[in-house]
Amino acid sequence: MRDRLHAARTIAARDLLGLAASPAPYVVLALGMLATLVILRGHLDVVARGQILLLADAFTLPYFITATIAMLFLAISSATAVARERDQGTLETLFHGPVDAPSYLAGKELAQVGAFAAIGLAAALLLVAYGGLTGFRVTGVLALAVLLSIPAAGAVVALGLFLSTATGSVRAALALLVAVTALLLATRVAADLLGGIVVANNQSPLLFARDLFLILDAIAARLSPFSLFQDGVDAASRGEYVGYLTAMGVAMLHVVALMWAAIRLLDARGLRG
Amino acid sequence: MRPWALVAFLLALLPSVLQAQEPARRRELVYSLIVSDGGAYNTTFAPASAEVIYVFAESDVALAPSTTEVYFWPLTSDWRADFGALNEPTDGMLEVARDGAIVAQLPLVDVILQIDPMRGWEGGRLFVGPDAVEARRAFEQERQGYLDRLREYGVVAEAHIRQADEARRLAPPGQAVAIPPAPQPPAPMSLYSGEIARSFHVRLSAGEYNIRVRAANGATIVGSERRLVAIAPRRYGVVYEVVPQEKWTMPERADDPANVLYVLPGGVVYLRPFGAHELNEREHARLRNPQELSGSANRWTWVRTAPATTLPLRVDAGLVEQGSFSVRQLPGAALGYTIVPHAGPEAPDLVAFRVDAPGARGGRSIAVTDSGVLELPGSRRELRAVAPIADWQLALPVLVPIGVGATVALWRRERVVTIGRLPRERRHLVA
Repeated sequence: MRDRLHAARTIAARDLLGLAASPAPYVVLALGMLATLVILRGHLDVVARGQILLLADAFTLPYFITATIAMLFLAISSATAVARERDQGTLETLFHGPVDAPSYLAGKELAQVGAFAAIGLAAALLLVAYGGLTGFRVTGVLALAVLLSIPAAGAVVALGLFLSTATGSVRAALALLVAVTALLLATRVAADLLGGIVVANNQSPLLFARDLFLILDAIAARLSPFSLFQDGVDAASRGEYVGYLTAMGVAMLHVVALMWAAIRLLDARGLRG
Repeated sequence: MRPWALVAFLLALLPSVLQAQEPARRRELVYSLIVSDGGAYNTTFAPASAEVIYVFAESDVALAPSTTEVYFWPLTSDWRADFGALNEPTDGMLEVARDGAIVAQLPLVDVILQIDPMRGWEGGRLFVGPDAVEARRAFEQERQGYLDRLREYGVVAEAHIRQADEARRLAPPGQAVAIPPAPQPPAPMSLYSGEIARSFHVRLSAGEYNIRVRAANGATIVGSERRLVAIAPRRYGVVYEVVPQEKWTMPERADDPANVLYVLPGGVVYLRPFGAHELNEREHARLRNPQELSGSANRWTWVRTAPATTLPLRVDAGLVEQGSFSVRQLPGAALGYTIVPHAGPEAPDLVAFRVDAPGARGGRSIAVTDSGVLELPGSRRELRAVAPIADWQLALPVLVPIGVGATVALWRRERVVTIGRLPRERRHLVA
């Protein structure tokens, strides 16, 4: 067990350093802040032109966007890393040493979650700076959002690892990951958008689509880390901490279940691509 | 074609044209409903197509089953009842079951809905049983009294007109006529009352139920089985109608307790608070009309229950009382107006709490208080003044990660030793 932990820590440290030295996390953060700039600029415009703006939380949406970009990047990074290392035979070499499937995948997961935690924290600090610049109120919900985003990111990364072990190549792992995450995100976005359609005289060509996506979203709400994240933050902003903790617990369950499945698959499918 | 043949052909077509305009009707059992959303009562009906009836938990609800003719109305995509053509009340006992166990068996009772803003029944009040009969009797008595006062006023007003005419006739030309003041009409009647109806009176805790009507012989009346959902609010709080000084005809709603009111420094808002609760949008829409499809299950709506304008508003540490204001158009052709404290006999344009935002960036805390001490739960809001800032300042947080990333990349480049950066002799050695 000690050897396994040591191996996992070593892999995590190596990957984390590799990520920190690459430009990608900084680009992700800059993209998130760019989205924040656009959103806050719009809010300031409304105040200047309309004289009033009613807003629950100016920074929840920007953080959600930044966190989602970071989660997607890390999931893609983890999925491609495992598939590539298997393709290139690195995995086989590693497994000749004191590395096995649990320590290898746990190391990968830890590295990505660690990288996400750093990005999330940096994003939160930058959003607080935005709060100081603009005067928009920063609430405690932001801290809760950062906290919840870590297990949610863990679930997304675990999904990436699971898909990379389930597929035979980098391309397949990437395609599957993009398809699954796009489906989960699209379901939530579509349900949100369709929930606001105007139904006049009980008639709208989008009524069926709305009801269909509401059902799909209700199903995805427990399966999608993005929905868990959003619902948990919404619950926290309403002061419903049971809902918030439930979302956190379910996200952690996702991590455990997906990691377990990934380990089993890696053991079953072998180390060669 | 001959003219008589054409006329005959058109006449032959006429019945089918007329028939096409009349929708097909069918007999079915419907429930006439008097339901409240916690704020206001509403009368509606649930045809057989509306399998679920939504009611507000812990409120008095009246359900009156009857057989009537229904038809589909394509313009509004819903079923309409023609109670004028057929209205056969259903007799029996209402059986209410939850999780398979019967929780109530209810007989038909008298119910009546009355509305009176002067008595604080803006949203209506449902009277049940003997109270319904008494409420109707009181209404008729009040109506009779009002009609008597109106009649008396008519007599007095007519006498006054005659008196004035006589005074004008007798007065010498060119001399001012002293006419006694005109009599005042009686205050309008504020009480509205419906008719007494025989209904099942239901008051349920939140949850899902099944209902059906049993006839005297114990058999279930066909078409009376429905699912009944008693809904409860997700949250309670105080919502505000926010009237910005600059656009007083376009009030905004600060419903969510997390809402912050952002204005420019020195901005002025007028606030009207209301007690409210939050309901699921779809359930609320179905409660108001069981056939309504507009509400969405993933959205929530705040329903106002009563104005909270009689309570003082705390702004920071001080208390603000509600004021009356008038809107004065600015002289000249240009658009514009100003809001000033109201004075004069005419009704004010605006009755609200005036709150001034700080003159510079900053915030003020707002809450409705119970007699100035205790804060009403869910009533706290913040009024924040935000000033526009330069775009380059907004871009600074975007540049920070780019700068850090570039520094890391340069540092890494320094650390990585490539063949090209080795001295010539070392390169030869490597080669």
